[in-house]
Amino acid sequence: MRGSYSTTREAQSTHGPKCGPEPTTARGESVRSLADADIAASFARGEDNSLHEVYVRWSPLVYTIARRGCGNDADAADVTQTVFVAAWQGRQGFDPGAGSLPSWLLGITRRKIADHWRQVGRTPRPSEELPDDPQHDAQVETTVERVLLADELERLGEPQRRILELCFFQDMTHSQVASLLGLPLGTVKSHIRRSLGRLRERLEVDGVPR
Amino acid sequence: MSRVESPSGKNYDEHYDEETIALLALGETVAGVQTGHLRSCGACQAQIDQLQAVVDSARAITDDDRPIAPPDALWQRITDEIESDGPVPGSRNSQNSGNSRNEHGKAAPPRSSGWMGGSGWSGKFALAAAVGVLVGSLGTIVAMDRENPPSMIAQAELQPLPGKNAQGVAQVRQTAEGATLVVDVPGLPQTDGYYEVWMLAPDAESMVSIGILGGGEVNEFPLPEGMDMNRFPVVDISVEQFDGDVTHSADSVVRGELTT
Repeated sequence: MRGSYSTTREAQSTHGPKCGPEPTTARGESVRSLADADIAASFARGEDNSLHEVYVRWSPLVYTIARRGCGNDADAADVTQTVFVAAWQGRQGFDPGAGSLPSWLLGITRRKIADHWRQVGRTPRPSEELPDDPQHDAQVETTVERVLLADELERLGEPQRRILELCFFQDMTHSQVASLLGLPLGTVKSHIRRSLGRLRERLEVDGVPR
Repeated sequence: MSRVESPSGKNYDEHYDEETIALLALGETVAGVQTGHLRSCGACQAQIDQLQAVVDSARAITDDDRPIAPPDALWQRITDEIESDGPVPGSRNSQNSGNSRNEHGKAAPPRSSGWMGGSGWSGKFALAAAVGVLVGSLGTIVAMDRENPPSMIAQAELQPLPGKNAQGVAQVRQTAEGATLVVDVPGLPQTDGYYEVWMLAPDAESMVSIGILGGGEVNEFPLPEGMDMNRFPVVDISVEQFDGDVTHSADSVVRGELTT
């Protein structure tokens, strides 16, 4: 087994209605994209409650990346706070035509994490190491990718998510997955193709530094 | 898939299909794969490399990479910091401030001003913040104080989705029987299908079907005990067809988030 990503949660749902055709996922996805676009548009217009919606939708991504980037919960909360305050104050700099709102937010997150480490450098704390800058930036980039992928995996729906997790973390082949889940080979292959495509697209849409 | 020129100048269609490429990116050995083609075909190799990079990142995911929500108190800290800097120039309320001052308490609420009437930007903001904390700490509607008389505990202004043209309001009211969702959307256009009421998670990915809108303008739906308004705060009305498909049609007409 690779990594330490838990797959136990899915262990009980090997069979059942969720393994059939999944109109829910296909249709749920379009509902979701619509919702994301709505939130971004209302944020771009500076509507009163839009920051709250943005916060509800994307603060877990920002916070988790900050947590990985800063190494502790308290600093991650501070960074997350500065990210959303800066996002609101600088919202006129967000152009919905130039990229997704999460990619813009994650751009701010990267800068705030870097600021955090610069500040730590000025106020030395013996318990924390100041990472070497370029190396640390690269670490943040791979963190952003992993957190986005973990988020998209959560959103795949079943059985797609379970199929990919078995491939990724249990090193199973598609035919082993098919026989474990009792699904036709062709179904598993096509889920793998579409799901990998979705993961790649998520990185392309939200993972590009802006 | 794109065609490429072979070294001999002849078009050939022997690229791997996308499923094979996906399996190769996962590191599987695929029967019948001609390694000769792979070596010579930059297009296929590039696709495999691209997906393989995604696979490599995904395989490095640990439990610490799974997105978790920040601490509950953080939203309050953010609104406090923003409010301490004063209203931000260019925000909608600063453009509207003349209006609300002149017509204070008198004019009919403009359609986009929200249910709080004349309250200012910071008031709305603080309220939005309070919702997160209040709803979050109470957890479920049924935990609300039942000694209070039947009353509105949350409201959503239902705004049209792009290309749609209806609006209305939804309220959660606490009655002796429990929480009830009251939906009032006058002027919904006629449809061959029917309108269904949903409560969505903020990301609109998970949802609970609340019921089918009847003919009258105001519809009431008793909410199931344990219904978590914090988890499903967005009221949504969709057009559904009589197609036997119980899932959301993705054709929403109006939508709005409940706030207390």
